[in-house]
Amino acid sequence: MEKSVLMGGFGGQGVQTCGKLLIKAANEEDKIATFYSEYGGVMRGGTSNCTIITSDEEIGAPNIKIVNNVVAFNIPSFNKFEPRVLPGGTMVVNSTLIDKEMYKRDDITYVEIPATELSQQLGSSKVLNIILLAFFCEYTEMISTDAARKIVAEEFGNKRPELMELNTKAFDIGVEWAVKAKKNN
Amino acid sequence: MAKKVVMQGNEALAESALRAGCSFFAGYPITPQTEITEYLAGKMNDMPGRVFIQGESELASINMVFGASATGARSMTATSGQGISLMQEGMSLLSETGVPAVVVDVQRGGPGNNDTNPSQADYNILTKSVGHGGAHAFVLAPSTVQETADMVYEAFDIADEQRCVVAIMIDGMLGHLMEAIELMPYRDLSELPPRPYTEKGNPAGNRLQAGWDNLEQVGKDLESKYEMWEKEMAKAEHFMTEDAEVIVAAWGTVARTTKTAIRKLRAEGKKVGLIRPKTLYPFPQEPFANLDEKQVKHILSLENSYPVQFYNDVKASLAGKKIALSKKNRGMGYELSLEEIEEELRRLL
Repeated sequence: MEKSVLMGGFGGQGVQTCGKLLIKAANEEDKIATFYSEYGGVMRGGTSNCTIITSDEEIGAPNIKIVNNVVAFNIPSFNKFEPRVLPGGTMVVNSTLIDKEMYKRDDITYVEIPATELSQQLGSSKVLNIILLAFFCEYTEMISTDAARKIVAEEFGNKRPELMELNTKAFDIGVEWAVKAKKNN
Repeated sequence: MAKKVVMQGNEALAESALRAGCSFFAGYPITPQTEITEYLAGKMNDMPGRVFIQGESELASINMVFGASATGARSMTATSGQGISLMQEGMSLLSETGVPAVVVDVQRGGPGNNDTNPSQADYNILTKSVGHGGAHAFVLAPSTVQETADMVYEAFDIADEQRCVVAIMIDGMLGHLMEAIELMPYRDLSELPPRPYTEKGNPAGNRLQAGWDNLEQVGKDLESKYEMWEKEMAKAEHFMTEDAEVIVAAWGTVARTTKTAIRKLRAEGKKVGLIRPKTLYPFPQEPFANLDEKQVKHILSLENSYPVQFYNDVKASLAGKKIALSKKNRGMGYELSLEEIEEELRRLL
């Protein structure tokens, strides 16, 4: 059974890193997975997006149009990808930037987390992607939260140990909000 | 079982080449190939017995590959579109002299100053004749990151054994796609198969200096080698073809996208399958020639190229068969989508 998530935001919000952590977490729990990022000059700003698919068998098309989940880091991605959520699917919304009044569908579930605001409260908007990663895993269970936590620890523990504490806090906040969101829905 | 590692296609290809014993690389950056050059630039010169050179051009790079390989080094270059055009003369000479080399093409779309999106536009230039003279490269076409790593690992052995250029054709989709793979072990450079015909292995002289009186024999040898490849070394994957009434012919990333469409249609009970050539030269004709006319009603040839190229080989393989053949293609940087493929199959079923 294939499950998919499309993540989108501004270049610089950490969308690609978030997606790469997600596929590594999927691999950690021995799922078959693909990460596909549309190629473009997104490092200097503009939109950045990636699609992660998990499955228990060989994955064909890695660049599918209709997905189970979308994580919208910003307004342009919200508008662009809202029509691409499968009916019954989930749209994770960065509610610091995206207003409820923008919601156009009644056949999908919207879940909100003020990720930009939360990251700023932690002192660094850089951890926005870690908050959303943790929130997404915990809320959708497409990829296990434990596997994601382990991968974040591995990646940052090895490469940027000075950021480990900050990332751990960001991860915990994401999980906390997802637990609350699950109770409310 | 060792844990799989998540890698991008281009990086997996580069790492697997190192593991296969690639000890010389020369190349020039070009999108969507650049990550291969970048990866090797970061690693090779710190590894004993290996050399990385960023050539001043593609022309220089392929000739550096010639020189390095002639001294016994397992050698590779990687490029895209325009770079493949520039390397034609070098690939022709490598083929005539029987000097092994691996050439990677991460394709771009269309002729001229083309788009960098996923494409299959270099089919003819690599499968029909590398450069002037009609010599062939042995052409491999993976469709997953795992297969990319496996094929480049195997490519160096084929190049050595067959004394030829082995070309690996991928595109920006596979080059930039990340999947979890198992990598093969590092080969010990000192234990690679000997090459008695290289300058290092046989200083007394060899086919590199064939001489005019020998030339006809060189041509005859090439011809019999290609006949052997066509007879014995062509490979294809059959996907859900046993009872299929409509069969897709496709290669590389188009084939993997097609698999998703086929699974969906199979779930509805539709009898559809796929034949995916894994070698583009030698082209696997038999899977097509052996199809049962009573069972298979239609072949749909798919590719990302305007004009069609792969289609002509499918057509030739079907010669005389009473099976309908049609094509659907896009190109110039536009790719066939899953939805387009599914819609076309529904129209035919």
